[in-house]
Amino acid sequence: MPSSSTMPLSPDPPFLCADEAAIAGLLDAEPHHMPEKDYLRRCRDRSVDVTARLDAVNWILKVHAYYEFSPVTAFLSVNYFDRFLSRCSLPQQSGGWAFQLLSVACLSLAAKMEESHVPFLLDLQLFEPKFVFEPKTIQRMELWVMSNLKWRLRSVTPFDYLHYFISKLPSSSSSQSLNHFFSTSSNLILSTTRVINFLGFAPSTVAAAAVLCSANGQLPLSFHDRVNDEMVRCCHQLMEEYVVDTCPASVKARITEPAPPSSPVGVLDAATCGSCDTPSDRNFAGPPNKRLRSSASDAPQR
Amino acid sequence: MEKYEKLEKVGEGTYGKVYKAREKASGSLVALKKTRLEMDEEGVPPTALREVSLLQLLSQSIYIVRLLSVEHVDKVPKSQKSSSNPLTKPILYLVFEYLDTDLKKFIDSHRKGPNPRPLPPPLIQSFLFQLCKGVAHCHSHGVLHRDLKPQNLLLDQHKGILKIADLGLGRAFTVPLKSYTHEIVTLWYRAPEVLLGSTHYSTGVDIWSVGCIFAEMVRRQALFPGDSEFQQLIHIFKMLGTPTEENWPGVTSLRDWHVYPRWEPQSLAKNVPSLGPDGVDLLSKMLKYNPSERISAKAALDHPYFDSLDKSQF
Repeated sequence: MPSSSTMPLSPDPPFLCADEAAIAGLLDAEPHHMPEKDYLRRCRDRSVDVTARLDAVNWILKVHAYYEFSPVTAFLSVNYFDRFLSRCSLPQQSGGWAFQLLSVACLSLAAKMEESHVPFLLDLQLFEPKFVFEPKTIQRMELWVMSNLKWRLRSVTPFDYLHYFISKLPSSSSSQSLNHFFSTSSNLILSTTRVINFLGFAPSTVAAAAVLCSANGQLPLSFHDRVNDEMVRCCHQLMEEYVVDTCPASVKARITEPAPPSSPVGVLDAATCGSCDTPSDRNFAGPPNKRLRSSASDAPQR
Repeated sequence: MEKYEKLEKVGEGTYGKVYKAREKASGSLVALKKTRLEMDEEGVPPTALREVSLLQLLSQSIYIVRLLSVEHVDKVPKSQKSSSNPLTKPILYLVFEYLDTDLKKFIDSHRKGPNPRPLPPPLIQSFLFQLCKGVAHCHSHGVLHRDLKPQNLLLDQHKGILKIADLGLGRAFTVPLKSYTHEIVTLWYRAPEVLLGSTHYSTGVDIWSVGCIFAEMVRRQALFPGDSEFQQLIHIFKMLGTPTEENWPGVTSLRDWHVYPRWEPQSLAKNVPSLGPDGVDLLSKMLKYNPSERISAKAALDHPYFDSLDKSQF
């Protein structure tokens, strides 16, 4: 069975020509589906355990790939995870079980929201986890996550914008190029979940930047009146830096799923373009002084 | 849950009972939908998840039943009450605004009982307009309902208001369209692409259901009352004609397509004799075989059938 992230488009997908009203509705809703405003700062100053976060995201992406879940499922899982952590703190000295339980609950919730066939909870706990949780325990965690997120599980994600933005590109007419742009952009979007700096951008910005990356920088006149071109440029630059450049050279042209950064410190310290240090999408507080990526001793090697 | 006084049981859903209740503080009536979580060994049931999260997204429309709150209660079973460390059973209550009847009961009351009579045409027009508004709202937010039927359309009879309820089968659609389960929607309202095994269906499945409901309001009986998937298709084919590659490209490649007898299409107008030409035209556009040719909910709102309706009240 082909992975749904590369599944060919059906002839008449509903959002291929999404009307302006639908896009405006998504743009209105997206701030309600993002982590709290200080979350990125807390990740950067390590009051959130970014090592545990990266482990959780990598585990989610591995299980997602194993079951060939849709890319939306993986993205939603990480979205729930970050939104929860931005509102609640987990016990730090738990030997990792709390983060693991949270990641299982978030993936389970996302799969139930998006997938036609959801694996049993015990079957979801793959790749030799340190702890295996009973369904009852996972259910309690699911309930805690859901009430914490105010039951807003139908998050706005970058995938909601992809087709609309792709349709704005000069060369997106053929179904072959549509498929190429969609699968390439999808892979890029998924890859951003590992890198905390992307938490500073709204889903619409991430989508526009991914489309821009997949189109090799050929810029449409404008993606949308309400999508800030400067923010898109910053996010695009970050993608080029973090995500595209971590691909092996042989596949860089196709931008398939990149290798994860070697350490969470590498993720934190990887350079951003000077003007993009403080994304204004959500008015995040500026990060502390950071070393440039090239000088970061523990940055992922190219 | 002390905030509410249960008055009576009004129904039974997939995961639990539905009660009519009164909020003690305000005295207002609510519907409590109880979800028994202990039934499901796999965490919170997907239907409950989808219903709550989609209602959170859609509930601001007056044409979607309003979710007032979600209450999570840990109930101690009688057998555990004396225990110092009792095992609790989690229960979820979805608290909805209360509406006194549904479209199925309303149609039934006009078909049988002491005073059988047709539904007034202006009321059919008003209910259909509100239904299209609700469906358009769902679709504009990227949500398919997938289980539209008269039982899931709640009515406030006195105000003439119709609201879509029961989003347990509802789901967000993303692009490319994923492979969805095809065991959805009560047979009578199920679109032919679903009956023929398509798993890449879209908004058209809801529009087909709307068309069937429209015809049922006019006829006071179901348009296609099949008792199996095969019989359901036969009902449809006998009335609308057996589909062909000409009027529905790709139909013969669908998973469950077989060689069916070639029925010629009947006159739709004869099957809804009290419906005027504009109504028949709208119905025919909702019941197009090719899903991509089916009218959208948004376009339906601008159809001439609704020209005589005072839209300012909506």
